[in-house]
Amino acid sequence: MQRVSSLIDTRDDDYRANDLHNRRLASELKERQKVARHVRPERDRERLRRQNKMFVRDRIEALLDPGTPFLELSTLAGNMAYDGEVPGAAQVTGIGIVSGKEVIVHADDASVKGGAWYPLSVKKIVRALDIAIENHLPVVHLCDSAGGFLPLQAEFFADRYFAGRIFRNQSILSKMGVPQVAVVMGHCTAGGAYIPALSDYNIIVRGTGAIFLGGPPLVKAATGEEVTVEELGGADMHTSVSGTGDYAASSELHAIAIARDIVERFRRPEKAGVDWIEPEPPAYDPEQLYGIIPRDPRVQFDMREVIARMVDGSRFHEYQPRYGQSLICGFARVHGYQIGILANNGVLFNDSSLKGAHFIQLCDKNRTPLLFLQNITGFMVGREYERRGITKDGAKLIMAVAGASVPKFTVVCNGSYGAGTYGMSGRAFDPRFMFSWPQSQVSVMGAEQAAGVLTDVKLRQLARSGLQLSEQETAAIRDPVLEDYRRQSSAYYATSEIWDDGILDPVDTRNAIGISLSAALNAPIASPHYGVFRM
Amino acid sequence: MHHTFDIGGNSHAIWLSRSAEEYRLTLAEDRSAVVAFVQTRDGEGRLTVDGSSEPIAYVVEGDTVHIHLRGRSYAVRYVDPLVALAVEADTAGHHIARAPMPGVVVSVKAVVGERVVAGTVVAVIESMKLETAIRAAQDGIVEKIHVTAGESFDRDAALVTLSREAS
Repeated sequence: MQRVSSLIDTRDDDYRANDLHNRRLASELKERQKVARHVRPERDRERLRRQNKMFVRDRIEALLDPGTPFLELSTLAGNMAYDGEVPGAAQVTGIGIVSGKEVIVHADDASVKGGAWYPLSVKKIVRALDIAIENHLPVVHLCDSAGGFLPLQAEFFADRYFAGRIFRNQSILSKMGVPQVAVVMGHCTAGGAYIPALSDYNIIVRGTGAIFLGGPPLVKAATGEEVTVEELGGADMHTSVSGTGDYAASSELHAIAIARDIVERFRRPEKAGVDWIEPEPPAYDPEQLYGIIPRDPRVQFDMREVIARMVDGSRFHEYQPRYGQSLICGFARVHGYQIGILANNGVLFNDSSLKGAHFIQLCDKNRTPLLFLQNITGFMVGREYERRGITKDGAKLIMAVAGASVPKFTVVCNGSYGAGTYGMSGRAFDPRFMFSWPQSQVSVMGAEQAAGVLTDVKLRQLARSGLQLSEQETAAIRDPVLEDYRRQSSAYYATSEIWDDGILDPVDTRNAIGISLSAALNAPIASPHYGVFRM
Repeated sequence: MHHTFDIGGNSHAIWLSRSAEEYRLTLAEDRSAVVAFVQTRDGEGRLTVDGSSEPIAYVVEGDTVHIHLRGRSYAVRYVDPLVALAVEADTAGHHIARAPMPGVVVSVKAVVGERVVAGTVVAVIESMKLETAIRAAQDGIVEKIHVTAGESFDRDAALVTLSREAS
């Protein structure tokens, strides 16, 4: 396979300015992640110590095989919600290695509001379990939650993808034969009680862990019965009397050791057969991505330069290099796995859409997972393009994206707008994993265009009632709209709302995709089959 | 197809195949040798050709391996057939930089008569809310500029023509 020959000049002024800008964005990301992971008010830390509980990060470290990678997901979930007071949505989720097996880790973070479930906490847990279902990954739950955050119960309780989905997903995993282990490290009350109960294996920590539908205060209020935590749902009662618990542990570390022993016995899954060879690092330094991604998101860049810094040996076999050039298609390897890449080099035309749909079917037929690198303002507009059937050709691309049986992975590298988001395997199209880069933006159209449209509508309404606005008054309508729109298009907002699985420092993308690919291959790949392509 | 290596300006076509225990190196004119290589430490090893063994030192630099053998140095460069065989066919149509999409010219960077290398920005256009740099696809001299700043154009319109350098 031919090496991409880069045209980047690292001494160029633009390159240097971009490099500075993007390194700043990357260090800002790292800083925000560090805060979300580790910075807690002293009283919360103190409470954990008093309760003889480990901090969630220490629990996870003890659980994982030392020196192995942990791909944490949605670290910054909730960063723009609840006044920023619920870092990580009070949950830690990710893919890690436990006793040599790839697993999903789901852990409540009791240092945040006692581990209470906020609406985004529920969304994050459901997403982690969806990943477990799609990729046949065993799950280790580290349970320590005070229960649902009652003032917001309408936003997480009753709907299809709300809290009930956690227990539904657990049941489906069990039905599929994908095992789960729950470690009860705090009180699992009400709904939370079902997480250990629905796990194939559970362990309760003596003294701090307990499972009950209603805690002692609720029992007292309901029936007048006075009962201690240990009597009502402690480790000894459940493991010797009710059979709700399987193993009693003398400490958190003991419980983690038992969990590791259980995971060690899990059957090693047969990985889906995709082409794999010995990996090689990219020939071009991935750090050069900082200089390549333009500091102005409106400036176009050649996605081949990005591919060259992400794939094995910077080797890329480009498919149809002379046709539909605004969509680059081709084969490469990431950590040895063959993948098919679709990357935007401009707006989607008729020919680029057809090329993409064709390439997806080609990859599906030869069992090659797909990587989408998004930088897309949308499909081309205008009379000529409509007459040529741009909508019809876009529909073909969307049909192919939605129908592909091979695993898909999506990275929002820069812009992701309008129907382009759909054609390039956005969140709604079930990519197995989806990541964003720090300066990327997702919205139905660009902020300026949207603010323009919204302001125009308002002005026309006013004009009908005979009102004319000065430039200043127009700006007073337009600016807040623009500001709001920009905020809600940012990568930090997207990741706050869990529209992706996390923001990546661009240089980490190769490793994140490698881990995601390996995880995805735990599930068998169905035969190719599609809906009707409008020809 | 044989692999092609360049050593000191001479081209060598070879093929390495597995034999029962070792590797067999096939050269042109039906010459072949049994070869084996054992790495002794980083950048050093023993090369065995038809039973006689020599220590060698080597450094890999992209597609070139520098080898030190019997007091002499050789640069062995892998010649990728995808590149070597494509040169003529590929550059033929590339001397005109064309518009990848309809849009407006933001600025023209090239100057007639100027010498440019592959990758030099010759013009910047704007289309569908994005600024795109139009780059020279090959080395050459700017022969003609077809557009001016502010002008709009259709897809595939010629923007800048490059002439190939007389060599």
